[in-house]
Amino acid sequence: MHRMSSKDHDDQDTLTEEISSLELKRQTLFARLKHLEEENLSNKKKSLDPIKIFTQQPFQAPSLNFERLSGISFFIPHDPEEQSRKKLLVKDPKNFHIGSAPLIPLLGVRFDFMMHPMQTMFPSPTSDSSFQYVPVNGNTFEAPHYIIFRVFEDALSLYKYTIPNFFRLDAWADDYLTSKHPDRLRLFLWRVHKLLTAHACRKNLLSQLNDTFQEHASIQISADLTYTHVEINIQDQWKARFFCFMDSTRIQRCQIFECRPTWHRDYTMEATLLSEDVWLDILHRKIKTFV
Amino acid sequence: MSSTTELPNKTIMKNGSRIQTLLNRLPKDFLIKNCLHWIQSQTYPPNATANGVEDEFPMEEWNPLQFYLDPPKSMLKRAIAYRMINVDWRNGFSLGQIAHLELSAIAEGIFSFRWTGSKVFHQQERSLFSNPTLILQMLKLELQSLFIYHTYMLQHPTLPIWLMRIQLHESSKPSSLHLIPSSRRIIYLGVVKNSDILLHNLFLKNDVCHRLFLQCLTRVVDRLQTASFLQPIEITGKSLESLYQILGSHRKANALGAWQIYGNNEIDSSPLDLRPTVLDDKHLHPRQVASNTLSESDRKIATQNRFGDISNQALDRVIITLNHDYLSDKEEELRNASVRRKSLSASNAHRPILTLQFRGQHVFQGIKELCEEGAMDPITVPSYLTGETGKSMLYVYDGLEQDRPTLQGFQETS
Repeated sequence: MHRMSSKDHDDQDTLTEEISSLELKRQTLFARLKHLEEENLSNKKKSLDPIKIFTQQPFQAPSLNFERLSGISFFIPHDPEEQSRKKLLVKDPKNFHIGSAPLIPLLGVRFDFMMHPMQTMFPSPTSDSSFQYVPVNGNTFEAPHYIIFRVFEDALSLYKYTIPNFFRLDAWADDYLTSKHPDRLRLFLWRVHKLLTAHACRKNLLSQLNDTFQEHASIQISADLTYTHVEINIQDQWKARFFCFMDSTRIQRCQIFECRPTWHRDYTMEATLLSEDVWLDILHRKIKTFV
Repeated sequence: MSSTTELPNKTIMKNGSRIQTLLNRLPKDFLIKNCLHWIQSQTYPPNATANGVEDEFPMEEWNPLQFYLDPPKSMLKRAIAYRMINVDWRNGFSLGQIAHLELSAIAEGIFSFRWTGSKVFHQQERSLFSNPTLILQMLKLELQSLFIYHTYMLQHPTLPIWLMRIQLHESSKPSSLHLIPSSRRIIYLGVVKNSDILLHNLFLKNDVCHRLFLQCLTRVVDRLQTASFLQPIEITGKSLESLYQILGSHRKANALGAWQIYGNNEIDSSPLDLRPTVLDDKHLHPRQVASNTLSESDRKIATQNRFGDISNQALDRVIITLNHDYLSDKEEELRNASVRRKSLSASNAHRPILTLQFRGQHVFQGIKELCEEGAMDPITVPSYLTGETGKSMLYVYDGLEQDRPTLQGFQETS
């Protein structure tokens, strides 16, 4: 048996230290676990008895309409002609049986538009550009549009819709709705949604512009119903005309005239506006210089 | 090429009985407002000359501006009209004045006027009528070779409709150019902005001028967009607001009747709106729907659901052509009892074509009131009777309203 050297003593010390610190750790974790378990138990005691929930009045939890947030959602509308068709007797042309008139099934599609979701629902405090789609009337979502289709064996047909006539839906809808390919319906709905969103965005941009310069009588901003032809007139100083396509918010063509001191065309400004995605800012700053 | 056949606005019209009747039909403040505008803006200044004024009205005291700024309250309309014709515009009114009076009277609803419409069918993705002045210019180019004409355009005060008044003269005799022609030669057009709808007065089938004018219109439409054609819409009405509600470019045009809840955004406005819809108390429970007798309040609710708000859809003439079998249940029993296979001729029972004509100030309001009173059942009333289709000439086959293509170009007066 040999005597333990000092080195071995040191090793033993560090080992015991380690063991004691681990022991301490274990104890704290144990205590934490116990604490959490107690908490969980007390929470369970606080929550309602599940049986009681079902025997009471129906619990209507307000739930977010998740399916509408995607922009396009379906629903089955109630047909107001249901009872009227049941009462009407018609003769089936194929076998001359008399029965109540057939009810044509309906399918409803709802289009929802949100102004730029990131900006309206989660506005960033550090954003330096002043351009934002500001919700009009304080609503994040615009008023939804609807299309009600009549469902036939091999095609859908437009029955009722809230989409304004200048989109000319009835002219090009049949191409998409009478095809047997299932993707055609999806394409149609996507195209309509794009048109309507672009329209809502352009309307929003112009109403923002209008609101900022409302008090100045010399500035006149006008647009047609489709918000594709826009005219801005600053009396005796500046004239601008823009044209956008129906399905985009970019300016496609513009004509800008400046009076300094004679009327001449401002090609540089035109080029800037055509190339910028966020043209509202530039326009805003330009008009402010005249005020 | 400066020679045109267009009459300028300043052309003086001979004062005659037609102008007299026109001024007498207009209300007093309308006349005064227009006279004031003409004098103040110097567009049509009073043209009484010194030797034209009679002795009873000395020239020095003649101050028309003063008079129209503050007309005596007790003065009758006839007296004002007399003054306008015989004193202030003694040498005759300009064509522009007459046109403005007539057109703004129609725009403001003072004159009742029967409108109908035509729609352009084309393949472009934008609606055709975005620039009414351009359309007028093109129409003028077409009319130039056919008539001596005068055009006047103004915008409706509240609706996005540009109204035009076109006066046609057939002969080029100078004496006839200074007379206001008959009402058959005056055509009114209404261009609904950002749509493909053109409103116009009824064109007569047997009138050569109307036929030529319609050809000009068709050519204008064809030049705006090739391979397009004009087809009459089966609607006629007297109120521009109603026609705009039914035909215009807005949310409600294709969602009339019971579908107005979608057009008016009354339900499901926003996905974030978590409140329950308020329509629950306005809709009938399905069990109530099945019963035959309804209480009065339920009947009112049901009628309101089917018809919606039709105050802005005043049509005064509705013609419905019904084409279906008139069968009863008893017949079904008889058929079931007898031999199944009957010959075709025997089972082609009586299928008459019935035409219903409704006339009144507001036909669908009348039908709605019939439902409210209980004379008709609002739950089983068919949709075409609720004004849902937005037409005033309907063709119904087996209970479903059909789109029947009409003859191009002509809608008869009756």
